[in-house]
This record gives sequence, structure tokens and C-alpha cells, in this order.
Amino acid sequence: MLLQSIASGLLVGSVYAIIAVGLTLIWGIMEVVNFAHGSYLMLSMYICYVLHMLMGFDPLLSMPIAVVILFFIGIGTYKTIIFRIMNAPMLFQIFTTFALQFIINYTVFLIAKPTFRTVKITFLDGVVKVKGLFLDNAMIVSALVCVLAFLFLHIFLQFTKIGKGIRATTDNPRAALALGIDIEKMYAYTWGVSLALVAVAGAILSRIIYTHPTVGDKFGLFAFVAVALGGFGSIYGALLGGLMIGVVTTVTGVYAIPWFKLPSIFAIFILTLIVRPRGLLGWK
Amino acid sequence: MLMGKRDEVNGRPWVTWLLLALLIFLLLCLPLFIRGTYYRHIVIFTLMYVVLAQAWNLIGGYAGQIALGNMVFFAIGAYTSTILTIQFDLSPWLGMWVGGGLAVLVSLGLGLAVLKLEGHYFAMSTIAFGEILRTVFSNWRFVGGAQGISLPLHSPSLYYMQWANKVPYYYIILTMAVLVTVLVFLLDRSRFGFYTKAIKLDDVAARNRGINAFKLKLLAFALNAFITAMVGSFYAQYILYISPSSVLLLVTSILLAVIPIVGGVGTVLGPILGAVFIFPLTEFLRAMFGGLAMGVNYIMFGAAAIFVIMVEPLGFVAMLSCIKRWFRRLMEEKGGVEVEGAEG
Amino acid sequence: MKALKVDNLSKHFGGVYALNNVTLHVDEGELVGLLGPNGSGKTTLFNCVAGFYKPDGGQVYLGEREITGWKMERICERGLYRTFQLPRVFPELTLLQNVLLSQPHWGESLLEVMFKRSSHSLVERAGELIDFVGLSHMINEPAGSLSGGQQKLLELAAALMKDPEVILLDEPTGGVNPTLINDIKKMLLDLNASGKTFFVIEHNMDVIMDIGQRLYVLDYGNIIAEGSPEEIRNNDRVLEAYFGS
Repeated sequence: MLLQSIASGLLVGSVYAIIAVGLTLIWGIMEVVNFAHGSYLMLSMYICYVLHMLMGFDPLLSMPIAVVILFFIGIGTYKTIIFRIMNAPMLFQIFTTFALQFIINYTVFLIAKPTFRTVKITFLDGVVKVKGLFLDNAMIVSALVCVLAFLFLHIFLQFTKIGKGIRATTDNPRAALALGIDIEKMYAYTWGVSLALVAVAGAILSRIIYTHPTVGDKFGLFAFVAVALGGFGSIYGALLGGLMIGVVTTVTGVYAIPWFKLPSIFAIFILTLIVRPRGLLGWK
Repeated sequence: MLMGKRDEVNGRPWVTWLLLALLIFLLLCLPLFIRGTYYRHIVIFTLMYVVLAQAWNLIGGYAGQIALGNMVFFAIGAYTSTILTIQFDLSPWLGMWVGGGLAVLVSLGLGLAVLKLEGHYFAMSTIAFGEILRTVFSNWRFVGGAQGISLPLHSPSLYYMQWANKVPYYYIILTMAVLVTVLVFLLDRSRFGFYTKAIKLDDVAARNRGINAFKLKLLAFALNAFITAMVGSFYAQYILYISPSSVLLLVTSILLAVIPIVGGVGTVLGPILGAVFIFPLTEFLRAMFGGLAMGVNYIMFGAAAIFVIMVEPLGFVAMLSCIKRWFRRLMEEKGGVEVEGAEG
Repeated sequence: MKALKVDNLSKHFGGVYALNNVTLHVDEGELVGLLGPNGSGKTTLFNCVAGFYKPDGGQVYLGEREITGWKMERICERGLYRTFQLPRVFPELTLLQNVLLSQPHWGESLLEVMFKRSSHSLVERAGELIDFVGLSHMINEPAGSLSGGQQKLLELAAALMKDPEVILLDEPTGGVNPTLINDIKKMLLDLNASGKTFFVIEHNMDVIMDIGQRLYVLDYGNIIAEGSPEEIRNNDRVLEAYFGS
């Protein structure tokens, strides 16, 4: 039933949305396209897997840990590598984040081997029936988590000093500089926050899909599509884009040939770039 | 300087020609020195990457548009000639050209839609296009789906471009490499090189002078597609097995871009240097670490690439230029080496 | 014959009208000036005419042909050459290369472009033009080593290389030292005498009053006056626009 798939799609989409928001944050503030985004997602999943193996934690429990770890990894990545390419020609920016993706993926590949790992937790199994629609428990919780994460982000950006600093830097870096805001710090924090968001998604996903070294790549690409749909630089746009992708993937999965999912998403991507590069809500 | 080799002409051009002739001679004799199957394979693959890198150089280096979906054209070449051989018994020598033509058509279609996009967006749409094709091919029975196609054995045969020995393949790909390098050389020193350089320096100013940047980019894209497809056909004949996972991988598309970048985009030598250094290196790394630690070669590759770019964004060629300039200054002190300033 | 004709041209950004129903023309062989206080829309007008912006209303005609909304490359090749207020040369290329870049592109076949260098005659012509603007001694130097004023001269040479029907000059003497200004004035007058059509934005009143045959004055996107330098000089509306009432 169409409504059913749309509902499931929205739940799935919330995860895509969170990943996309992380991507658009970086793009919006520093116009760097992070092709390694998916790799960080994968890192988060492995963190949750490891914690599950060692301590039996439910990834939802490990989430805060993963968030913190990835936050610092984000800051670290900026301070060691990204800051060098801030003013480089776009060729090198693309190239560097791609190389980063290579390095992260294959380092994990090296350590963890390409084995597919699973986190088997039965805690939230089962479905719940809401107004005639069957919704997966785990997905509902995930969606709620995403909403919470998004709320946190909103509060962070609106009300905290760092958050306001980030917003100021996004709007007008020179003015921000003139006001005494340490732009470099803001960039670093942005990377931290972006990856923290990805960490949330990773924790959720580790319960649902297999964890392996290249699992994040597809999500990274989907995040791009979401950002393009919603408009580069717009957080709400990324949210919207992510939800739309969730719906499209679910609906095509049900109504069309299953393998149509990927191509249709990418086709939408190309079409968006051609027809409406600004996306639905973007300003670039 | 951004000009590269073409700006500086030796006071004694016959030296360059002599060196080139020597090089060609050595290359022609190479199979005599290199006899192991494995090493010959490496050489062939390196030459393949030289051609592919030069092709990418045209769109990514000269036209300045980062294309990250070149495997699409590679696959079109490989699949087209293969299917034509199997279905219609058409010689790959002819099938290559059909594949090339098809690739050109696809590139024109895609290019018209997408070349107007700014850098990042163009790159992303080429990635998306590549992924679309990969998924479609993986599920399309006509092209063998995910299993791919195994070419029927006909070796040894000139008509079917198959031999048990690696040597004929070597000469074919060597010819391609030489031809493509000559092409890039000619393009570089002609108005194409001149105009594309200007476009990269200041797109708007170039267009203000009446240069049709879009048309030039489309041309570069089409050339890139054609050449890449031809190599794809060659690959199919060499490996005798093609599948989406071997010819349509995103990773390989990116590798195709990385090699000329590290070697030096927008120059004639760059892609050659890039391919010659990078591919054998990754191969040996893979052989060395293979069973113990898979993927180390990629890590080192990624790290090394970043390192090179940080140190000298213009790639190996620029590094060479520095050395050359130092050398030239030495020569000038001994007296009388002319450096000619060039016009477009 | 009108070399350039602009009919009811309008351009707005957001809710603000930068150009409001502007109508003007330049006849063949004229040297017409475009004046107006800062922000009056002069450069915007040039942008719309030369294809940088798509106008929101009205038409632009180059000779008989309507060129409204055409791409800048096409307009340039058709015969309208536009220079910029801040000279837009290629600093890394030599003077010769800068001028050669302006060679006619309209008739170039793809094969020619792919395999041939610029023809000898064109190289010679570029050399002559560089000589005309007095920069021969630097012909093989990178354009970046030129002063701002010299770069404007280079732009002029590049414009002439195209042999256009109309040349749009945006502040040809802006930021140029006084001796050079006189040289530029003389050059423009010579060129105009030999038949070249110019449409010039100029802030320097001395210059434009001297060389302009007919002037338009723009204020807040509207043409408020048209006439000879004498007439404009004494026009109250113009004085008001520049100095306030």
C-alpha cells in the first residue's frame, strides 16, 4: 500500500536526512565537498560493533560514545588535512577528500577484513500498528532519535556561542573575522558536529544493516543527492532531501523493480543539478 | 609556470629528437628485455593507464572539468566490441570504432546536459551517471548482468584480436599510447591548448574574447570518451572477461583522475609520468602485501597522492620542471642556450 | 545606420530596478559617452548589452540584428567588444598571447583549433596593435607586470584585434596616470576618426567632454539627458543628479 511505503520511507529517510545535514553543514560553511562522508559513517558503525562485541552494548547506548569519538575525529581531520586545502583549487579539494575516503576505507579494510559484521540485538524487535500502518519499532525509535539529534543541532546553532559563531562564519566569513570570531576554530567545530551527526546515523544503521569497510560509500552518495535536492547549504533542505530519498527508495523498492532504487536516485540527482541547481530550498 | 614544456624549446632541437628516437627504439625492443608474463602484464597495464590518463587529461587537465565517471566510456567500448563480436562475428578491430563512436554520442549527450555545471556539481553528476550505468549493467541480461561476459576463445587470431602471447597486445597498446601522446602534444601546442589554458585562467574573460568555452569542453569530453572506449575494447580482448565489477567501478574512475593529477594535469608528460610511477608501484605493493594485508596499497597510494599534492600541486611534471630549470641555469652559465618565448 | 540600438531595456535585481526602460543608440562612426553618478546603472547597461546579464525587458540591436539575451561569446564574435572597468587581462600570459586570444573565432573550424597555432598574419597583426598602444617593448612579458593603465591599453589592443563594429569601453581612463590619459584620448580620437564606433562610460569629465560627440546621462536606471557635451554641461537635471539640489 502506498501509504505504508511512504510512512516506512519517511522513517528510513530520517537517517538519510541526518547524514545529509552533516554534509551540507560542511558545504555551507566552507564550500568543501566531503567525499569521505560515508567513510565516517562506516567508522561509527564499526565503533558500535566493537562496543557491542566487547561490552554487549546496544548501539543506541553506544551512540553517545560514537558521537564524541567522531566529533573529535572531525576536529582532528580538519586540523591535520582539511585546513590545507581550504584555498586550494577545487580539483585538489575533491581529490583530497576522495583520497581520504580511500585511506579510511582501506585502513579499516586492513584491520577488520572485508567480513560483513552484524550487531544482533533483539531489544526493539517487532512492529507496532499505528492507524492501520505497520511500523517497525526500531525504525520508529531511530526516527525519533534523528528528530532529537536535529533538535539538538538546532538548539546548538541557535543558542550556543559556538553555534552562533558557526552561523556567522557561514553567512559572512570576513565579517565574522572582523568581529573577532576565530574562523579556523569554527571550521574545525563544524567538521566535528558534522561527523557527530553522521555518528548518530551510524549507530542506528549498525543495528539494521551489515557493517563492512565500504558500507558507507553508498550512503555518502545518497547524502549528496539529498543535499542537491534540498539545496546546497540549506539544513532544512538537506532534511527534506533526505526524507524524499527515503520515500523514493522505499516506494521504488515496492512498486518498481528492486534494483531501480539506485539508478532512480542518481537520475533524480542529475536532473536536479541540471534543472534546479539551487535545489528546493538552497541559496547557492 | 603554467605553460609547461611547450613554452621552452631547446636551442638544439635535434637532441630532443634523438632522445625520442632512442626511447621509441627501446620501447619497441622492450619485449626482448622483459620476459616474465607477470612483468609484461604490468607493462601492458601501465601503458593502458597512460592512454587513459592522457584521455582524462584532455577533459580534466585542459578543459578543467573533473570527470569522475570515465569508466562509463571504458565499459561502453568494452561491451560494444565484445557484444558485436559475439553476436555478429565482427572483428574487434572494427568493433572498437563502433564502441568509440557510441561513447562519443553518450559523452555529447551527457556533456550537453551537464558540462555547464560548475566543478563540484559536474564531478558529482559524472559519478552519479557512472553508478547508474553500473547498476543498470549489473541487472541487464543482454550484457550479462552481474556475471558479465566471457569472450569466446579464438586465439591466436588477428581477426579476433586474441593471442596466447602477450607480445602482440604490448605492441597494440604501445601504438595507442604513442598515438594518444602525439595527439595531446599537438593539441597542447595548438590553439586548443592556448584557448583551454585561457579558459582555465579566467573563464569569463576568455568568453568575453569570443571563445566558446562550452564547445571546447564538449570537444575535450568527446575525445576523452572516444579514447577511453578504445582502451576499453582493448581491455576486453586482453583480459577476455568483462563485468560491471571490473569495468564500471567508481574507484577505478577516480584512479583514472588521480593518475594524471599526480603526474601533472594540462601537460603532455604529466599523465605518462603519473601512470608510469603510480601503477607499477601499486602493483608491487599489492604483490608485496597481498595476502597479509589487503588494501595497504590503496592506503599508501592515497597517502602518497595527498603528499604529492601538498608538496607540489602541479604534480610530477612541475617537480621535473624545477629540476630542469636548475639544470638549464647551469647550462646557461656555460653559454648560449636559447630559450624561445612562444605565442599561442 | 545605427551600430547599436537599445530599446526599453530593463533589468532588476530583486525588487530594485537597475535599468528602467532605457532607450539609446549609437550611430556608426560615433563616439558616444555614457555618464551618470555612481550606482546609476552604467555598468549594468553594458552587462546587459554585452551578454553578461539577461535583460528583463527590452531589446538590444547590433546593426540590423537583434542580440538580446545572446551569450557573451556570440555577441563578441558578432561584432560588439566590451572592456571592463577593472582590466580583465590574463596576468600569466604574455601581452602577445593576451591580444592573440582575441583573434576572430567565428570562422574557426574544430580541426583548425585542434591542430593549428595562430596564423603568422594574426601574430603580426597582434604585434602591430601592441605597437599602436605603445607597449611593444613588453610584448613578451607577462601581462601581470603591467601597470593598471597599461593593462587598459592592452585591453584596447585586444579589442581592436577583434575588429569589432562597436567597442564598449568601461572607464578607459579610470585609475590611469595623467600622461597616459592624454595618450589614450589621442588613441581613441584617432581610432574614431578612422571609423571605429565607440560607446564609452567615463567618469572623468574632462576626457569625455573633450572626445565625446554625444552623451547620455543615466541616473537611477533612467536616461535623464541626451545631447552634445555643451548641452549636457549646462543641463540642470544632470547637475542635480551629480551634485544634489
